[in-house]
Amino acid sequence: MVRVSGYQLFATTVLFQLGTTVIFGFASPAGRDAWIAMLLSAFIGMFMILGYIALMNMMPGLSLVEWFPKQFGPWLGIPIAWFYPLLFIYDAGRGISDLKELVPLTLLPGTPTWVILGSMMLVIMYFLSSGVEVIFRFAGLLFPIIFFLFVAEILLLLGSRNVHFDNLQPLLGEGWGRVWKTVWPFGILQTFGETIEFAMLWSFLRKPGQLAGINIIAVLVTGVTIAVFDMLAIMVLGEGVFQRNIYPLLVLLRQLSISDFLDNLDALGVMYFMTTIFLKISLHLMTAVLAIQKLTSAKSLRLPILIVTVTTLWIGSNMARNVTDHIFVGTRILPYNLWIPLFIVIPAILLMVAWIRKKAGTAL
Amino acid sequence: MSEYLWPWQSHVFILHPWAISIMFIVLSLLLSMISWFKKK
Repeated sequence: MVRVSGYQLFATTVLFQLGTTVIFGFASPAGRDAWIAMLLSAFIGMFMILGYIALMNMMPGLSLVEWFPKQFGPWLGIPIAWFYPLLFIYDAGRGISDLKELVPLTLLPGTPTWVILGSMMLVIMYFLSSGVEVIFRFAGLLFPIIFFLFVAEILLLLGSRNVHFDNLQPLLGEGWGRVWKTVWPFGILQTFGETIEFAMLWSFLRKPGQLAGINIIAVLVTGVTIAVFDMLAIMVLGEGVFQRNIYPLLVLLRQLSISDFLDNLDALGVMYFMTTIFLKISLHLMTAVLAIQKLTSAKSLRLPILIVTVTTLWIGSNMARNVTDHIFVGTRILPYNLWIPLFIVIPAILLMVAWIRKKAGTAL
Repeated sequence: MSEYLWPWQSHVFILHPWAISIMFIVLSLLLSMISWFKKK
């Protein structure tokens, strides 16, 4: 029986929520107020995750895809439950597409993208075959290393002469308008809404009573980490460069130079981006595999793993013609088309139905 | 019309934003048949 510790769940949740944000930055449309947008997103996102946990507590021992048939019955509940593995596969494909754009640009300029993506997917396939427990252990092991690198980066930047605190002024100079536009819907849904995937994994927690506390601390750590990086990027690069650049946090790392001896530390950023994206794609696919296993009553995970990894590689490698289109879809269309219905509307209806049924004592 | 078959591609997503939602509904109904059949 798979059992994970509170620390492992915490580390996995934080690294999952950080995901690609460690390179793309967060809330750049909010300009110098991006860090406020981040903290506000984290605050609202925390309540959304507590909503998912409330659902979990109403149906103890059941995972995300089992909630819907339980409350809505099999004819309506099962088709709704299938939306989620499909979304997780699509989201994993977006991660592959991010890699396709970034790695040839930074680490491996001469290597064909199919080699990069193919080898990544082979490793992920092996990783998934090792089981859920290995993913949690991997995150628990990497968490201190990644955070050590974060702290080193922050200290080195603060020690450089490039930090200009004036760039953060005036605070909310253009009002709350652009902050709110960034928070809703993208800010809340991209980083925190996706945590609904963990509802496939929460039942593995050794002490279920710790679930809410772990998630609150994880959201706080993620929110503060990204807010600090946003502040540093604004202080070092200025509002204009921060807003215009696709990879502001990568550009931030390029500013680091230690006595003309240690340069090109952006490679370090790509390395931790690779680590968090690897973990994020693996979690998207593991939750999709577990969901498919539950929905099809499959005895083995092998076939679902093969199907989801091959599908993800295929859709990820032909998803975007260019990075601009890819980011436009992710920030302007996807949140409205898929994320709001699947992360907010359907869980909210489910919460109401489950609550009414619980009160009336008529669970299916 | 053939681009409706590839709704996850960014340019199709931009031109026909609802194509992917429709694909999700169709696929989930088709895949549900496996679940219903296996449960019986």
